[in-house]
Formats: sequence, structure tokens, C-alpha cells
Amino acid sequence: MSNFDSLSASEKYSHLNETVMNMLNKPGWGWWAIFAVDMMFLAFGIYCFIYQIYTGLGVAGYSHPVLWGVYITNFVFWVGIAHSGTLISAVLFLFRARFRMSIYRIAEAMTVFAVATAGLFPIIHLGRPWNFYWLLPYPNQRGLWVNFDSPLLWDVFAVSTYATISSVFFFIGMIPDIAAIRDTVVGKAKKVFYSVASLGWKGSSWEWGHYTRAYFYFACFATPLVISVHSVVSWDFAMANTPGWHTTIFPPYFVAGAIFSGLAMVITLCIPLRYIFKLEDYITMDNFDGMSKMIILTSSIVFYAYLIEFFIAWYSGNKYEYDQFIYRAVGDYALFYWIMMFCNGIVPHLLWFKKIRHNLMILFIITLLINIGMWFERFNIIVISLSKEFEPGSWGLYKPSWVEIGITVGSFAWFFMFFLIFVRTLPALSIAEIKEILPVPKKNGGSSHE
Amino acid sequence: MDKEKQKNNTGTLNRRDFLKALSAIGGAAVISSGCTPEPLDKLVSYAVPPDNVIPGIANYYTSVIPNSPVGTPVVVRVREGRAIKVEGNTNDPITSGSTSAEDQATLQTLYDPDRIKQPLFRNNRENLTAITYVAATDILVENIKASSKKGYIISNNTTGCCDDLLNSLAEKINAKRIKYEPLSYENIKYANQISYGENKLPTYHIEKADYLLNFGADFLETWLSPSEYSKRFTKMHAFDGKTRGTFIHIDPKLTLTGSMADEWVPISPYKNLYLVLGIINYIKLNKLNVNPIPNVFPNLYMYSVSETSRLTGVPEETIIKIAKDFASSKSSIAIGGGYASSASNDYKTIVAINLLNEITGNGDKIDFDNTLKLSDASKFSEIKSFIQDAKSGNVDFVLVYNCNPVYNVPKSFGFEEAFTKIKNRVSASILSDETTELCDLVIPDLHSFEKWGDYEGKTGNRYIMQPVMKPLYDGVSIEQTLINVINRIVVDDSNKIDSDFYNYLRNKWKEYSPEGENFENFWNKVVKDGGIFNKNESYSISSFNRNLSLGSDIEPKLKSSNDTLSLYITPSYKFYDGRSSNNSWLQELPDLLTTAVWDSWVEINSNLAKKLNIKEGDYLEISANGRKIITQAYLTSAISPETLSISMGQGHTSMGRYAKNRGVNPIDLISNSIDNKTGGLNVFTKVKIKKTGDWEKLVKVQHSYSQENRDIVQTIPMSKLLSKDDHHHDHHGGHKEYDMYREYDYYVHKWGMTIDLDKCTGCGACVVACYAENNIPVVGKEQVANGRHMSWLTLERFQDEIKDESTGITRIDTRVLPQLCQHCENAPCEPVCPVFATYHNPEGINLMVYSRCVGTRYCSNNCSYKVRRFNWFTYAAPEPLNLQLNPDVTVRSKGVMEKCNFCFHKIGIAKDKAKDEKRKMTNDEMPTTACQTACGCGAIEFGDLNDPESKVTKLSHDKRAYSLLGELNTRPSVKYLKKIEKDKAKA
Repeated sequence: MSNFDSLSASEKYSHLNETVMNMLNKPGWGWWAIFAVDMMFLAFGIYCFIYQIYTGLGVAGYSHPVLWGVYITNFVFWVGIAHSGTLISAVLFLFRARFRMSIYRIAEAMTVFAVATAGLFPIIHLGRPWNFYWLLPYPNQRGLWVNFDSPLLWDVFAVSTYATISSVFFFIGMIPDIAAIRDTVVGKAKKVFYSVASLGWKGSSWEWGHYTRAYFYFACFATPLVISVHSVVSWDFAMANTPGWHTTIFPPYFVAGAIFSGLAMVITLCIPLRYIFKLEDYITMDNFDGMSKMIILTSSIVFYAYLIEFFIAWYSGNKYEYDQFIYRAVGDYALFYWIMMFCNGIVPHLLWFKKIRHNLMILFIITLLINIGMWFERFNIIVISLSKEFEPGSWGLYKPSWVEIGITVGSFAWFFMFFLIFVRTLPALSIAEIKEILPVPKKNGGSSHE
Repeated sequence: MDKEKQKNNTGTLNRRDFLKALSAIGGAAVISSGCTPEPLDKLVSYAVPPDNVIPGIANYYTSVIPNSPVGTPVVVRVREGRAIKVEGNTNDPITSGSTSAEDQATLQTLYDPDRIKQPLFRNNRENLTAITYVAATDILVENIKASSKKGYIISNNTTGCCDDLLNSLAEKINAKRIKYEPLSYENIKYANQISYGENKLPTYHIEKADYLLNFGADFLETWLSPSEYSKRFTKMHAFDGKTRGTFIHIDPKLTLTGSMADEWVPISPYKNLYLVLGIINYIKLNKLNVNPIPNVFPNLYMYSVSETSRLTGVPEETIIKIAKDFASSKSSIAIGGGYASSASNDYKTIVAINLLNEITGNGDKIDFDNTLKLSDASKFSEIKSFIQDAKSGNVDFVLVYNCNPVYNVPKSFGFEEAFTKIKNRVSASILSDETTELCDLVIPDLHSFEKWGDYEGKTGNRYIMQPVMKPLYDGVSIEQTLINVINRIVVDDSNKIDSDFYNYLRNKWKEYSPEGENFENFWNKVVKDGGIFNKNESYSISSFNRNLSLGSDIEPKLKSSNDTLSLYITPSYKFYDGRSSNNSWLQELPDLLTTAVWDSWVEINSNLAKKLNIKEGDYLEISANGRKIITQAYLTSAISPETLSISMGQGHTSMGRYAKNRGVNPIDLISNSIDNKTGGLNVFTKVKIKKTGDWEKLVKVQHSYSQENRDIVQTIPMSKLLSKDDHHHDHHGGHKEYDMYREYDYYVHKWGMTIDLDKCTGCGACVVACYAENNIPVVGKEQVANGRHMSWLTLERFQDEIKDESTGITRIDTRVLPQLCQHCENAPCEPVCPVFATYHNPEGINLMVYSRCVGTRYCSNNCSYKVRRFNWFTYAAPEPLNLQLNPDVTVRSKGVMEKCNFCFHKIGIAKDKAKDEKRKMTNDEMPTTACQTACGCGAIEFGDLNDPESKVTKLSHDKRAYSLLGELNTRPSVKYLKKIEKDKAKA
């Protein structure tokens, strides 16, 4: 730390360049080992999916009346994870929150990859996944159209819009950095790749002028998506009449939950990355501090929603709603319910203490717990609500099968596959933006640290 | 315009003509090339169509299912030469068009993949090998000629020509005939013999009573003639606008029949006699009798109310109330004598019941003129003497036809051991059951839909058994084989009988032809109608033998019940005595009261189970008479704590893939004692139970039995029903003011259904009918365990314990709900489907487009009634069960949702005919649903709600009509009629 601080401004600039370039060096055996293990899990996940298509969806653990389970849980979980990327890059950009600078690239990458993962699940969960394109409103000879009343269709639009915008935003933000890499990278293939990817960026002030304006507009454009995507996803549930789903609190509750889980995931990813690539000089305690505080805020919102759901269930006088929430707390799935309550409602409040915020080991564990808790939140909403609806004669329980677990593990492998490739091929730190917060080197080489 | 066009085109070859010509050339090419390797029948449709067959149009033929001992006359729907659906025959006064679950499922026996296809013979070798019918006849004749000792012919209770031929064979070869029926009610016959001088199973005219007191007879399940009694019971118990009868059920176990009762009175097992005597004694002491009381039971005086209560476990006030109500009702009747209670000396219970009817002047409802043919069944004692004969080596020939004594004679009698001592063992059977497996010569019979024959279930009701399709395996009926054999063994030509069974049958029926009528006309008429029906139920009243005395040494020695457990073996309304067990529809049909499938279980009182630390699914070892069976526990409060109950029908060691090695056979535990007086089996069995320590989930369809105070199955007190006030009855009806959207316009029809919860007995016939009609796949035990049964119509059963505040007595309130797609007007499933795979059609039906469904399953999640079923796999039944599939209904494959569609195809067929003739449908042509036609109690009504005069419209505006979960404002097209409750004040 002190080492970095003692450097001169120009040395800092070149230190940053070197750090980023080092990350793009030929990967060592450690990276390959992790990648190989990751691919193994992914292969197993793919095997499970093929097996499921071939045999029928029955190989999943679905049991009447719980006809949505782990797959939709995963879908909502990954869409939720995808949230913080845009939040950190776009919303915090607009708010000029400086703590975002060094982590937003990682967060954006996470967003794009999480959406890519989330998008798989609505297809995986279909009874006839080979017909997934029937959900798209494309002109066809049969004169068939889609049902715009269905929240599932809204999902198709919401998620695909989000995937498009976040990828474009991710890419635009990287252009100056890719150009910087292009200038220093050795090897023909790499040179070609980065040249094409940088779209001929020269770094002229004219380009910068347009670039910053474009970036600002994209940030403005992406910001409402942060709210809309998860609101739409929440409507999958809120629009249905199922007790435990049919509630107006869902959109804000889901958005807060999504940001909450996304921030936790960013921290989960940043801590090992920072350690492995020695990024302590850039990803600082201030970054973690800022994100931790946001976690406290979102956790409080989520926890409030948990409690208010109980209140409304009681206050509404709706018997079905009331029974549903009693069942959540003390029924067959109570363990999962209390895991969720503990991980999302109680654990994050340890972050009120600065000592804990600044202890990366504890912070890492806390964020892992939050991710587990948020996964179970979705599981609880989906599975517990469905297992006991209006008609007592139809009640039943659901238990995931090995195929669902295999595909879930595979989806994590799929996500990490992208992430592992990303950290070795693209600038994980935003060179251009971090330089904005570094002191500008002067001709005389003097330091202007203060 | 079109016609003109066509005219213009006549000169040239248009597309249609071109194709015609092409197909003609192609067909000729196929026919001329004789050496083509492809099977021709799959390529070419009918070159010359058979008479009466128009592809796509169903034919209906009458026939009869002789399976249950009374037989069910049916009309079979045949498509392109294949029987695909069974409907009741409305000409028949006994069943009047209703069928049981077992009848509906007989198609699965017809197409049973395990049917014996050819005669089999074991010639000094281990395995049975296939032979021809000719060879089989030869061997049978040789066997008969070679036998020098006694011969036996054991069959079920055959009637008509089949019976005559068996008798004739028995006579020719000097063999003894036994008509073996495991459920032959020797106790009832004997009791009637001594009290009325009639050794018969009478008709109890319960429809004439307004108070029915039933001592354990499961008359809606298996007792005597269940289809008939459900009709009679409905007449007696259904609300007619003014009143309805009262039904009290006395039984250690709440059976399906008991669940229909106004009150179920639990009683200690085998204590019925004491209760009847207690009631008679009370009537006597209080002089409530109409006729003088003969001294049949000399120690009647011992049965004071308190003593009776102590012996039977029935509260004193209940005994007094029953006695008073029985005597004071305008017309009462007491019946009794189920298999489960047929212990030694149980005939005395029946005598006492007869006496009770007699002294209260109710003997006039017992009819000995219209008796069941089942009365002719042999006593069980004859089986016992056969066993002794065979054991001592006196028998060297036995022919077993259509019965399975190795399976359902208790093991303690050693039937199998005795049977295998016989040198020549011949079996005639459709399936390779336990008895058939032990035989050396097996001659397969044809299914009743494949052969000619006749059947008489009840005096005066003779049914024609008409082949409705070609035999699946080109077989020969047992009747024809019998004729062949008889004609071979008689030496004298004059004794020979008509060599063709069809002629034999016709000759026989000449007897029944009215004099002066042309026989051909008569024959055509009976074949078309299904038989001769005795619509006139007149009878003369039999007089009670007033000199009858059962002696003063009569049981019981007044002792209190001891603490051991009794086994209560209930015949199964699905498998009867186990003869229908190899049937996947019946195996998958949930037992009504437990909803368990594909297995056996033992019902145990929950308090007792708690004491013994037993939970549901625990494997229990139940032992008696040196034998034991192990099965899973099912806990219920609807059984007396001194009783364990196991249903018959499972525990086959053979018979076919669906029956084999599944569950246990409780008959194995019965001791080898018979009642010397009646000749019946003594089923009374004391058992011991032990936990084995193993546990497995008991596979059931329903997991939660409480209504959770949600008012799912609603009731209405009688007084409210009779009150004149026009207060809006359906407070859960649609709240139109809340609807955001425009209402649907139903221009022509608006289909709707009403289900009368007061009439529904929960017999399951509708469920099986739906399987047959709609090609619903069977998924098997493992998949049902995962909650994946596919049935479109489920009978949900709710059992809540209700504590009466005033008396403190806990009553078990059983209610049944036939749950099917409600075809909501505000259907929650419709808007959520992203691809419009489910939609509302212009006639109010919520339809599924299977080919459009991508399988998001959102519709099911959003269905408030949870009636949608998802195809988790492609479920295919083994061949030839696929031949039963209804060609009018799509067979679904994996990944699509399905559910009830109000038999949409039947609506289409009904409408098409009227449309073709350019007119409106008449009332007779109105479509019916499969569940509706199968229902024996008339609980289901279906029709056009747009027609203000239709029955369904009227019923849906009935005071009792309500919508299920009406507060959700889904506005179902299915309305339920509330179950009627007896008034508290009156009770």
C-alpha cells in the first residue's frame, strides 16, 4: 500500500498499465487447473440437460402441484445477480460515486455473464425446450402469435433487453482500455483481436468527447432497466393468483433483493481476484466499505419486506395468505425459510461494524452467506407457495433431483467459465477510469498526491 | 361459385382426381407385387370395407361383462373393429346404464398384455409350451378318458349356456361340479333358509325404506349387487325436494359405503349380533313392535341397553336412538352380512336382522322372487371336501374355469398341496393366475367381448354376450371347446350336441322366445337390446318362520371384548376378490378412503398406532394362525381400535405384470375353520402386530385430508333447504361488479356441469371411465409417489374430526369431492400461457392445444383447483393395450400439459350429426361426458347452460349449487350441489 502511495504520479500510471497487462499474460497452471475443474462441472451440467431432454422433464424432482422449482429459482437468482453490475456502472456513475471506479468492470462482466446464465433456465425448464422460440413473436405461416397478457412473455422482453443493453454498455466502457492493450500487446493474433475490438480507438480528444457523452447516455438508458428487469421478473409471481405470490410488494422487494445479492456477488468475486492478482492498490478498502454499506441498506429493505409480508398476511384477513405464511415459518420447508431469514436479515447487519467491513475474510463469508440466503429466498417464494395453495386436497411436496442439482452446478460452471476467460482476455480494471482518480502526472515528474 | 368451378374442371384432370388415380394405381401396384416384404395391412386401408364399418364412426354393440357375480350388461363402443369404451346398458332395469370402475376397466383385461395367447401344455417338462387348440382338445379328451378316479370341475358361479355345458360335461364324465365364489354369503343364505325357508340371496328393497340400518354390508362396493344397490340407495337417500331417507351404518371400519351414511356407528368387531339383539330387546321392552315377537332368541332379555353398550362399545344413547328411530320410521329396513363380518355363527346376526325387520313390520321389503344367481354358488364346505378328497388321492382330474382358488382359499386349508396331487390338472382362464400356473394343460378362454354367450345375473334378467370384435389371438371360446370335448367323449351320436356353440346358444334361447313370435325377430331384438329384462319387480312377501328358535345355548356367552386385535378383511371395490388385479387402471385408481395406489396397506386406528409408536408407512408384521404378512401402516381414526383392516385383491404371486408381487393377500391369515351350519368360511381372525422397523413412504395420491376450514366441500342443513326464504344462496358466486373485462358471449352453447355431492358415493367409476375415454396414461407406483398421477378427474377425500360441543362425541366427517377442470370463465390458467396453448372456446370450454404447448407449466401453477396434469415423460402402455386408445383423442407426449376438456370430442360428434342434417341438436342428442354416463348415482349432470330448460341449468340455479372457491371469482362452469346434512335439532 504504502509502496504504491510512494510512487510518483507517472509511475502510478505505468503501474496500473502493467498490472492490467500482467493479468492478460499467458495463464499459469493454476488458472488452467481451475478452468479444467470448471469445465468438468459444466460438462456434467450439459450431460444432465441432454439427459433431461431425451428422457423428459420428469427426471427433475417436480411433484404435483409444485411445477416450478430449482430451475426458476436459478433463473431469478442469476437475474438478481445481474443487477448490481448495471447499478454499479450506470447508477453510481450518474451519482459520481467514486468507489465504483475500480470494481465496475468486474461488476459489469458479472452482469453480462449472469444474464447469459439466467437466460438458459427459462429454456431448460420447458417441457419441450426445442420449441422455445415459440415464445418469440415472429411472423410465421401458421398465423400463430404469442400472448402478450402472459408475464412470461414480458420476461422474454425484459431479459433480452437487459442482456442487450448490458452487453453493449460493457463493451463500450472497455473500448479505450482495449485500445491501450492493443498498443502494448505482443503477438499477431492478439494484436488483431484487440485491434478489431477497439474499433480503431485513437484516444483523440474529439473521440473522448463523443465517448464520454455516449457513455453518459447509455448510463441513463441502462438505469431504468435496473428497476424494470427485476420488477418484470417479480411479476411472474405477483401477477399469479397463488397465495404468497400475489402481492404488490414484489417489484420493489425483488429489485432490492437483486441489488443486495448482486453486491454480495461482486464482493465474493473481488476478494479472491484482488488477492490473486495483487490488486490491493486499486481495489481498496474504501470500495469494500462502500459496497458493504449498500448491502446494509438493501438488506434492511429486504428484511422489511419479509416482515411486512407477514403483517399483510395477517392484516388482509385472507385465509389462504395467512396459512401460507404460517406454513413458511413452521411448515415442511421451515429450515430453508429460517436459513433465508438468518442469511439475509441478520447476518448483513454485522456490517454495521467497521472492523467487520474491513476484515476481508469475514466479509467474504458474509457475502457467501448472503448469496446462499438469496438463493433460498427465491426457492422459498416459488416452492413453498406452490406446495400449499387454495385446495388442500392437492397439496404436495417437492424435492430437487440429481439432474436439477447437476444443471444448477453446471450453471455456476458456465458463469465461471466466462469469468475465467474474461479475467485473462479483457481488462478487469478500467484503466481509463481509474486514471481519472489518480493524480495526473506532470512533465517535471513531481508528485501531486495531496 | 364452387360448383361452377368444379363443373368447368370436369374436362380436365383436377388435383383430387389426379390423387385418386394415383392411389388406385399405387394400390394396384401394391396388390400385384405379392412378394413385397412390408406388411400390407399397415399400408392399405380397407380395400373392401367390412359391413357397418365407416372409418371414423363408432359402432355400438351390446354385450355383458360376467366378471362380478351379477354381471353387467353393457354397450361397447367399437372403432374400426376395436372395442374402446364400455358404457352401461340403459335397457337393464338393475343397473339402468351405470357401470362400476371394474366394469370400465374390463377393456384392460381384454387387451391385457399378459393374456394367454395359445393353449399351453406341460408334457413331462418344466415349462408350459404352446400347442394348438386341436391338440389341446385331444389332450383334454385323453385326460378324461384316462381318468379312473373322481373328477372335479371347479368354476366361478357360471350361468346360462356356459353353466349348462359345464354341467353337461360333468355329467358325462361323472365329475363333481363346484361353483366357487369367495364371496358367496353362505350366512345370509342359511339365515334366510331358517327364517323364511328360502336358501337364497334376496333383493332388499331399500329404496322403499326411509330408514336404512346397515350392519356392515358394503352394498356400494361389493355386497351382493353393488350397481343395483347404488341405484336403490340413491332412490332412498337422495333429496327429492321434500325429504330423504336416513342411513345408519354400523361397522368397525368406516368403509366407502359407511362414508355415505348419515351416521357411522363404530362397533367392536364381530359384535353386530349383540347390537341387533339389544335393539330388539329395547323395542320389546318399550313395546315399539308392530308384530308380536317370536321367541327366536330365548336369552334376549340379557341384552339390556347397558349390557349391549358394554359388549359392543356403542354408546347407550345411540342404541336407544337407533331402536326408537327404526321402530318409529314409516318404513325401515335393516340389512347386514358383509364378507368381513362373516364369522362363525354370523348367520344368527342375519336371523336377528330378519327378526328385527319382521317385528317392526318391515319384512315386506325382502324379496325372494327376484333373487341373485349368486345364490347358486357352492358353499365353501364343498371346497373343503374337495381338498380332503384330493389330499387322500381320490381325485385324478380337475378342470378349473375362471376362478383362482389357489389364491383365494386360505392357505391354512392346504388347497395348493391337495391340488398338485391331482394327476390331470386343466385350467381354462384368460390370465395365467396362481391356479393356472399349477395346471398342466391350459386352455385360454376368450374375453366376453370376443365370444358369444349369455349370462343371467338375477332371476328373469338374461343377457346376451355378443362378440363386439374379432378375438385378439384367434382363440376359441371355452364354450366351443367344451362342445368339442363333449362330442368327442359321447359315443352315441344321438347324445351329441350342436357342434357350433352359436347354434347351441340360439337353440337354447328358443326356450325364452315368446310363443308365436318369429325366432329370428326375437333373436335380433334380444341381441340388439342386450337380453331379456325383467322390468316388473313384483314379488310376494315371504312369511317369517315364527316357530324358529335358535335355542338357549345360543352365543354369546356374555363376555367383554378382550384386547386382541381382529383382522377385518374387506373385499375390494376395485379388484373384487382379486380377479381384476392385473389391471393398471384399477391399480392406479386411488382407494377412495386412503387414496393409496398400487399396493396393500393395513388400516390401523391412529390412537392405537400412537400407543404402539407406529407412524404411517411403517412396515408391520401381522401374524395369525402361524402365518404372517408384512405391509405398510395407514393411520386413520375411522376404524375401531380393536380392528385392523386390509383390503383383498393384492398379494398375487402370478397373474401378470401389474398384479404380481404387489402387496399382500390378507386371506392367507384366515384359519381353516368353517361354520358347520352354513358351510361358509369363518373369516374371524385374531391377529398380532409387530413393527418390523422398516419404513417407506406409503404411496398415496392425496396427502392432506383436512379441509383446513376452507369450505371446499360444503353442506347444507335440511331445514335450510326446506325453508321458503329466497335469500341469495350462493354467497360465493361470481361478483360481476369486480370484473374488469367484458363478459364472454356464448352465442350457441355454453357447456356446464353440476356435480351432486349428496349423491356421489366416491366409487371411482367416473375416474376409470375418464381414463378409458381420454387415453389417460397410467404412470405407475413410482411416479404416483412423485405426485405425477395423470387422472383428469380425481376424487378428493376430506376427513375432518368434528367435536360436537353438546355431547362431546367426536364425529368423523367424510366428504368426497370429484375434482376436475372447472372450466372457469375467468380462468387463471388462460392469461398466463405465453403461447395461447390454453384458451377459452366460444362454448365456454377451456381447451388445451397440445401441439402448441411448450411446457412452461405456468397454467398449472396458476390454477386454483390444481386440476392440470403434466406429461413428465412419454408414457406408453405395453402392446396390445394401445389398441384400446380412443382414436378421437390425441395421445399426448412428453412435455405438454393436459386436463379435462368436458369430453370435447364427444361434443363434436354430437354436434356434427345435427349439423350434417342442418338442424338443431335434440335433447336426446345432447353430448354426455364419460364421467356422467359411468356414474351410477346420477351425481354428474352435463349440458347446455344457454338452454334455460336443460337439467344442468336448473340444477346450477338450485339452492344447493355453489362454486368451488367462489371467492376467487374464477366463475367455474362446474357447479357443485351441497351435501345435505341432517338437522342438529332432529338428530
